[in-house]
Formats: sequence, structure tokens, C-alpha cells
Amino acid sequence: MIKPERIAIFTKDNELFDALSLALSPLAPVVRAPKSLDNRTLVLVDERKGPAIDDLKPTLHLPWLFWIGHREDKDHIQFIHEHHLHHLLGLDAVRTPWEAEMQIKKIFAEKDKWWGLKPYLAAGTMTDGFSLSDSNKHGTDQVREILKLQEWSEFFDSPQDHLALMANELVSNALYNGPEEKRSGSAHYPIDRKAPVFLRGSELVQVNLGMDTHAVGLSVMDCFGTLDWTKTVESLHRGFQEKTVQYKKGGAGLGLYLAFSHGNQFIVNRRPGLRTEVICLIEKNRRYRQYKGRLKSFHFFEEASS
Amino acid sequence: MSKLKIDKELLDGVLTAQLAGTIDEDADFTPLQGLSQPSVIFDFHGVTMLNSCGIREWVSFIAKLPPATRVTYRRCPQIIIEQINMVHGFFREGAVIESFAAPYYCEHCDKESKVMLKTAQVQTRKAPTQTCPHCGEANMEFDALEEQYFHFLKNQG
Repeated sequence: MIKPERIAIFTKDNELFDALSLALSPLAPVVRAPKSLDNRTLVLVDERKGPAIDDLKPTLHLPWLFWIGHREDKDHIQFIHEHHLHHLLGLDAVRTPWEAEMQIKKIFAEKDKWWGLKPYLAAGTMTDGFSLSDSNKHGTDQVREILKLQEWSEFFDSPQDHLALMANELVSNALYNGPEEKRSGSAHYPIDRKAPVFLRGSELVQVNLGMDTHAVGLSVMDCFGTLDWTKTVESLHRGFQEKTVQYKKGGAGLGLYLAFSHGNQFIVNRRPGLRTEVICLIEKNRRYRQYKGRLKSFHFFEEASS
Repeated sequence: MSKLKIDKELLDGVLTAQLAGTIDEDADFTPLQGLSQPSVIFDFHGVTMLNSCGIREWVSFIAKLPPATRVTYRRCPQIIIEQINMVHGFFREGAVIESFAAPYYCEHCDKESKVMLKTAQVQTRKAPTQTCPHCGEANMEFDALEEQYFHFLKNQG
């Protein structure tokens, strides 16, 4: 597996550079705004003062470009859509270095270490979860039961509602879209969401939740691997642009958009044709206002087809 | 099976429908079909979740109400307000939003409160001052971004 040989950081914010450098230097040599770049360099760009993306793209390994954005979420999704970005960190003075370290570590890790909540929670953090093989509609109740056991005193008042909703949307997508897409090879979702679905054989949708000192995380993993970058970003883009439900057989077309919008970091791991995992993180925060004001981050990790 | 419970009460020609539970793809609005009252109040206080398919079900349901019916939304919980701000169509055009929950934070006692606000209390998208129900502090801080949280009121007279 090819790994970056160095990390280049473009920012004129000295404090941010120092914090990023400290967090990332154990992974690879860190250089600041080098004059030339090659496709063995992982690049972090603070868009406030960095180079233009069109100047960077031709020379870069695109999944190694981490863009630090400071615009509104809707504009960020537009930007991701337009430039085929895999990683955009919503600028947050406190959390950006921590987030960059977690996400970039995955680029350096073996791919079997990408999966699950482990890369995002402190070592030794316990997670709790369950598997679903049909649409029995109890998934959300099970999520709420797990959430009740967590300690929420360092959070604003409502992350449980947000997590339950995100789980509901992601589980529905996994159960209703994944198998159909894999079997038919089509991106159409012909199953009515009111109809029951039953997965076959060993097919399962796995839900996990965990909390550490930084965040609470939700992971929903399927064994289909059909949710690719294009579907993910197109869906988010449509959600932000139109903000309307779709009247079609299948879902309302807003599940990913809502899951993205209710979290702070939205992460997709994909092994094509085998599994997809969507992870949503809500960072620990006593203030609802800060949770809502945090610019959201998007990360898409895909294993190359072999 | 629908996890949405609907209780109806008719008083002086005004129908109040209290909704509780989850509004999702299985939401069954049959008990509310064929309403003939000129005025209907939907009380959302007991609603715990509104997912994307539930919004679609709701939008389809209210589109079938007679155009002349006066519709009022009462006691919308915070999670509903958030969804409504993210997805268009939940509020029927011309409907009145009477009251809704809003997050406040008291720096004095470090507690968050959900305060039920009347729409009339929110002028030019500015949150009204509130007293902390826990410690009595007179000026709790509105704990959301006003422009974002009150977005759903933009069409309210």
C-alpha cells in the first residue's frame, strides 16, 4: 500500500500550523508551504491563505488532499462536489488539529484498521452495538436504549435525539438501498420503505455507538459496499440545494443529508462491493450553540479495488 | 406498524390533534383524514422523531386538507424545529406556528432549558429574554444561532 512520504501544510495561521505540526509530525515529516509538490505528499490546505485548488489538483494524489474550509456547510458541499474532494475539515480553532490527526492517521494505517469507531475514540473506549438482518423497525429503539446508558453531563441537552435520528436514516438506507443496488447493479431504490425487507444469509447491518472524552460516535456498516463517493456527494449536494423530499418509491432522498447535518464529522469508509460504513461524530460540547455553529467535516475513505 | 399516536379533541368547532411518538414512513394519518372543521390545531409536543420519510408522509397529508382549513402548529419540539429548518414543506403555506421549544442556557447554574416560546415573542428573529427555571437567574442566554434557529418563522406574519 502506498503511503505519503511527507505532509505539507499551507496556512498562514502560525498557531494552527504549530498545532497541526505537533499532531502530525509523528506520522511523517511535516513541511510548511513547499514550493513544489508531488503525488507522494499529503497536503493540508487552510483555504483562507492557501494556494488555489486548481493549481494543486494536477500534481496531487487527490484522496490525500485535506482541505480546511471556513465557509458555510452548503458551500462546502458545493466545493466538495465541484472539486471531487474526499476530505474537508470545517475549520474549528480548537478541534481541527485533533480531527486532522485522527483522519490523517488512517491514511498511514493498514486498511483493515480503518473500520469502526476505534480510530476516533480513545484507546480502551468501550463500544456497544447490535446487528440487524431485517427492517423490524426496532433499530432506533435499540439505539435509544444504548444511549440511555451513556453519561451525558458534558453534552448539551439533545444529542440522543440527533443520534437516534441519524441511526434511523442510515440504517434505513443500508437495509433498503444496499442489497437492491448490489443485486441489481442499479442506483434505483425500488423498495417501498413501508414494506418489510429481509437480508439474505449472512448479510447484516451493524450499528455501533461509543463515547470518549472528545466525542460520541455512531457507526452504521453494511456488507454491500455500494454507497460510493458519487452517490454520497450527489445526495448531500441535492439535500443542501433543494431541501425537499423526493416523491419516488424508496426513501425521501434526504437521509444522508440529515445524518450529515446533525453531526459534526461525517465519515464514510468503503470497500467497493463488500462493505460501506458511515460514521457520525458529535463532539463533546456543553453548548448547543457551539454544536450548531461548528462547521461540519466530510471524509471519504475508499479502498482501491483489487 | 405506526409508532405515531394521534388523539383528537373537538372544542367549540376547533379540532386539536395531539401527536405523539415517531413520524416516519409508517405514520398513519387516517384518523385525521376527511377533516371538515374550519380550524385544526396540531400539537406536536409528544413527537420524539421526524425522519425524512415522515416529512414526506406529513407533507402529503397536509396537502390533502381543504384549502380553507386554518392550520395551527402548536408546541413543536426542538428536534422538529431543526428538521423543519433543514427540509422545506413541513409547514403548510398560510399556517400559523403558535409555539415551539427553544434552547436556553444559564451561565449562572450551568444548566440548559428548553423553553416553550410563543411565535409572537420572537421579534425580528431575536430571542426573548427568559428566566432560568432552575436558579431564577433573570437573563438566560439563547443557546442557538438565532438566524438559523428562527429560519422557519420567515413566512410568519
